[in-house]
Amino acid sequence: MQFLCDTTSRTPIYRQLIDQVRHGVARGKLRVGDRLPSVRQLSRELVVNPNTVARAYTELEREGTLITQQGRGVFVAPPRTDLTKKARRKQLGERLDLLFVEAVHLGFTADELQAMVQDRIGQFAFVEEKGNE
Amino acid sequence: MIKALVIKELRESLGLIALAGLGIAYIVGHCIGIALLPWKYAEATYYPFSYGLHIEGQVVILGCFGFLLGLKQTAWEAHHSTFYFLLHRPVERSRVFAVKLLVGVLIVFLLNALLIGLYGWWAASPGKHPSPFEWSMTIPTWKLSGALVIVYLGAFLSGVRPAKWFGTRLVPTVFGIVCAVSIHFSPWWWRALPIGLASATVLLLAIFYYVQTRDY
Amino acid sequence: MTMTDVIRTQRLTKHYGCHRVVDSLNLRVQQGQVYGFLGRNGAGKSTTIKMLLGMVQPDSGEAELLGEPVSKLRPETRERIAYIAEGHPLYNWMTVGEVVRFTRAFYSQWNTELVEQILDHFELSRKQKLRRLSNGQRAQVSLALAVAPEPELLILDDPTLGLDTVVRRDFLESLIQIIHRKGRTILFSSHILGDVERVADRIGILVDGVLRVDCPTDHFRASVKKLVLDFPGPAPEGFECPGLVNQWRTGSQLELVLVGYDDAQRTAVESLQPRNIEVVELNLEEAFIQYTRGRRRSLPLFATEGSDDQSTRDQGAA
Repeated sequence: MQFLCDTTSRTPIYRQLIDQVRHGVARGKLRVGDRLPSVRQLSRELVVNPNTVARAYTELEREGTLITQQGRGVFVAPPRTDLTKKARRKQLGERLDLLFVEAVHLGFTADELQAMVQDRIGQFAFVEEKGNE
Repeated sequence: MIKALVIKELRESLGLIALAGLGIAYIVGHCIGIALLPWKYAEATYYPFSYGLHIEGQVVILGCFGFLLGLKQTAWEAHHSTFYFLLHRPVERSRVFAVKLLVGVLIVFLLNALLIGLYGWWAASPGKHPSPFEWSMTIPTWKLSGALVIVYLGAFLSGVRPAKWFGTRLVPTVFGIVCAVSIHFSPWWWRALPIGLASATVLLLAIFYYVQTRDY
Repeated sequence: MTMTDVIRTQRLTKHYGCHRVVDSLNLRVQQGQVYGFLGRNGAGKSTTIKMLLGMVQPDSGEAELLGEPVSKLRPETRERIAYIAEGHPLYNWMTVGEVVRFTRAFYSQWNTELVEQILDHFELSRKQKLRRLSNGQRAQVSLALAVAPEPELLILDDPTLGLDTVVRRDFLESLIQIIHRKGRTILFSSHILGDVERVADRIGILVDGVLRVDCPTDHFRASVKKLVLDFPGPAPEGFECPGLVNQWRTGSQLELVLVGYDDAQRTAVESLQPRNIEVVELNLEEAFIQYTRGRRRSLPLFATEGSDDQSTRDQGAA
């Protein structure tokens, strides 16, 4: 995966990196167990201070997206399910509502929205069905 | 590292030395009857080291040389900001300037010696001119050489002493020239020598003072 | 903090004539930090750097590098410090090979391999005269000479000034490589905020010779915020609150630039009863411009490493 860094953006560099990793995972460009470039490597590649890269990695580790294996490197972590299904459902529901509000105001019909959602689902890497919980 | 500094100073003065060399060749040539410039007549000397072009030549050519060398070693570096590079090297600042001064004084002195040596060598060879020649006749020119070293030191101080205005900047040079003139015109060594020593001491003390305390 | 201060100045002051170029500067840079030293032209950055290296004598105050007073810096200590002056001054009559040989003569430690590597990477022939080098090549030579003695501290005075975009990127890449060496401290001044954001952990901003900001880079940009207020009628005039840097009125809109946006300021802003408040994040360059352009002396912003929360000290406000 190719990382980018834009210093004219109003988003801090470490934030940009976090967003890119999260997008990469969501879109399936980064899969569970994939190794990310080391802090040094990425710092050199993007020409940014290694501390900035380290900060992004630490943050991603804290939220469970990445995992550091001592001496081996930084990897994409398997999805973490700390929260109960109910809590997660609630979180997503809130976001969905936002989407619906926007859709209504932009004048889309329910069918159109459904079609668009269906159309986009394929672009993201969702967790495989694991049978019953 | 002293060697590196010496080589650097020599390399940087090479252009000026070459010019001075041409000047010396012209004066000596003129004094011994070889005209280097085709539109001029050379005046062969009858009484070597007594009168003639050699004194004026020495004053003009080597005086200018001393003046320019003093500025080149200081103001030129300041102008090109190379002092920031040079003075950050891990050596004491006084050493850097001591090397500059030593090399400078040596070059000024050696060029004077070259002029006197060449002219004297010609004068000492038999059959070149009708009058008798003794090496002791060159003493006034040696004294002049010493005076020209003072001119060089004055120019050096002008280069390192900060001043707002061009005119005040040249005060040390003028001081050097005045001292040099009074040395040259003092017929007695016991008067010329103290003037020389005193002015050299004053100039050197001032140089080392400004070098340590000025803003670059 | 157990970290050692590699650079420390105490009430460092310098006048040129009656103009105070640097005013009671207390600067501290800790070991391992990459410190971006910012300010508009004539803010006193260069003079400060020159005082740090003993090239300019302060009128009062003290400066210490690696724990040694600058006025008595021993050559052995100077050996551990690299300094690149503005414009990368080098002896133009020398060739690349000669300047390497000349510089090397002064150091007990010299990483020949590293110099070769840099020179080869930028395809610099040893026989080339420095006079004939482009600005970018010159900068690379000067950086190679600076890092060859394996310095612990690098002080760079606007090293990317006058370099084009591509060459500047090359230079920054080299700088990042230098940063990778653990424990190295770098202080550099720059005009290009994007570069500073990439490279610096921490920034200091000089305004008219006074250090007004000294905090982690992200902390600064997070602290400077632009607020756009919409009013039903004409926008009110003469709004005042601590930390206000600048304001503009355009019809029913009021734009405010605030430093250290906090609850107190929010309450003050809300008391104007605007219809809508939009908080705009700024990038480093915008934040810098807004902060330094303020009509009034902007609220100082100081924070220590690690404390990401707002720790604005309100001293000297207004």
